[in-house]
Amino acid sequence: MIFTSFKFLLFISATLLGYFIFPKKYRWLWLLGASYYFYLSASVKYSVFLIFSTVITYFAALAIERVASVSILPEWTKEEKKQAKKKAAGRQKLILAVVLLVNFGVLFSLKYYNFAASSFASLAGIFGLELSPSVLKIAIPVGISFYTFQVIGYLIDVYRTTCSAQKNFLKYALFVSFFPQIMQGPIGRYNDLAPGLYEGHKFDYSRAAFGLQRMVFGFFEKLVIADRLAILVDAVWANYAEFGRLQLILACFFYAVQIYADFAGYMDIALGCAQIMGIPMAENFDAPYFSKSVPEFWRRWHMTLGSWFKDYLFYPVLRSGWCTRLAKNLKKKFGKTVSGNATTAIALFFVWMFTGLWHGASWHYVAWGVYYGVLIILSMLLAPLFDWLVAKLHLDRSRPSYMLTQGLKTFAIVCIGYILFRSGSMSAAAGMIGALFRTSTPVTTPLSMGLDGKDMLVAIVGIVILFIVDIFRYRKFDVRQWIGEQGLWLRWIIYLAAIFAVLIFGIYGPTYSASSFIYFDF
Amino acid sequence: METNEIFERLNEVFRDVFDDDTITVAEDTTAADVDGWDSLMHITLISAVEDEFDIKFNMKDVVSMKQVGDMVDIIQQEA
Repeated sequence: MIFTSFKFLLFISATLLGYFIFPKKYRWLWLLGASYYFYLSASVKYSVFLIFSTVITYFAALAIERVASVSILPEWTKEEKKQAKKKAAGRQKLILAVVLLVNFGVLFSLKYYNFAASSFASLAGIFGLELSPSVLKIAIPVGISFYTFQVIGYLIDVYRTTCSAQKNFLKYALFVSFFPQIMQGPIGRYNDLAPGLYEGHKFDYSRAAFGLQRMVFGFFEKLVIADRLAILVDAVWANYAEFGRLQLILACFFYAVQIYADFAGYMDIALGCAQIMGIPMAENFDAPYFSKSVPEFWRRWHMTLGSWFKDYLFYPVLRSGWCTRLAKNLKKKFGKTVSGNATTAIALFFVWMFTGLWHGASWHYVAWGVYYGVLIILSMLLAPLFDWLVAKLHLDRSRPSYMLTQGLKTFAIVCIGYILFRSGSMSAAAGMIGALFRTSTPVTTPLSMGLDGKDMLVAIVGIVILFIVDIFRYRKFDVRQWIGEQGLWLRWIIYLAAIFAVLIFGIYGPTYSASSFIYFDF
Repeated sequence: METNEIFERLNEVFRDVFDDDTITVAEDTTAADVDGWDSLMHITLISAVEDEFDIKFNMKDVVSMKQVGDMVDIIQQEA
């Protein structure tokens, strides 16, 4: 069930109504029922994988906790106590490793097997070996990358004792399947998300109004901006050879807006409906296109994925035995700066390769991940040089002109990255980049990019509104609070204008069928 | 170990790691208060604090430390 479908409007109305009618104590059960209905309506067959992941991580978490509470008898010697603790830690590690392997194994088989097999066959082909691996004909269960990361995060948290294992299976099942986040995040942490799910929240008018406003803005971002720009972006990417350089650059810019409006729009709808019920969820975006550096962009874009990779891959790699030993050896030979930079660069490379791969089983996603990895490693290594340059040229980093230049530079880097991201393959990405640099380019006008004058105008007005809202977000100014403080007339003019904007300017077409969100595919 | 002594030694570690002699940390100092304290520098800082106090933080400590006060509490327990 897609958020922008009529069916979802019926579903969310019934779910919200039911939530506040149900006795407080059992509201979480209602949510569990609604969440499973939501997921099953997408696919009954593939829900098997969701249930499997839920069951196995539920029992594994309990087992990890049980093994940890090893009974130590007072009469034991110090050595015996130490050995018992060591044995328990070993068992915990084993359970964790097996369950991680099983969960990643399922994800790998469904999402990456065909890619890995065909890549391996191509590699073997280079050495003259002809392999024809069998192809797995199975669709990827929707949301699997998101919920697999969520359950693994939970399990590692239990292992690290950051959170306690949930004893109630149904409550745990709700944490995994909560309908606003099951399809494309935000990837929730147990300690942050779960308490809000189990507490029966009472109805609060202003909270509900805030949530509704956020949902309407999400629909605006998706239906008015993203789906409109998608027509243009799809048209250009499908026939990039026919477009001039300016159109190709514009298409990259419009794709940057499209993917943001699409993904952030989804988040606004998801967080909006959770807010109506009083359930806090993690934010995924914080005005990312106003970032002044690439690392800052990744602290503001898809924040829950970045923080997942940081806590469960980046830090563990850097703290691992081999990395610590390497750091010590390098420190002895070359000093602490080289040692720190080298180990951080290795860990960053891993993180970014996997970030790319997480988005899809294709080399262009890997290339996109590596592109960011290399940029972030370079920005770390060259930081002293930049500092020296800034001092030498007497540049003032706090000046608006400096910040604006840095912001534009970062946005341009992100747009270049989108060429790799949006193109369906490495050869398509190379073709698009080649088209950008060819000497003779066809002469076309922006209006030949698939949108007529009226649609282009609506898109531009939409982009301006999104830009203004993001300025407020960046400056931590709460627009909804401001709207709430206005008089009845102005408040309702804004509400109705927003609703009618979505109804009139949303992309529906004569045979409307809700278009999927981009991140559904990941 | 006295809290004052921990803070004094932590100040030296912070000044060395972030290459800024003006840093003075307090219990409520967070990553937002120290220029350059991001996820990349966090591990460098953690390793430097470990070397200074001859302790070992576990992964729970590494990911859940929110302010310098949390770090001081752990140092007091471990050292």
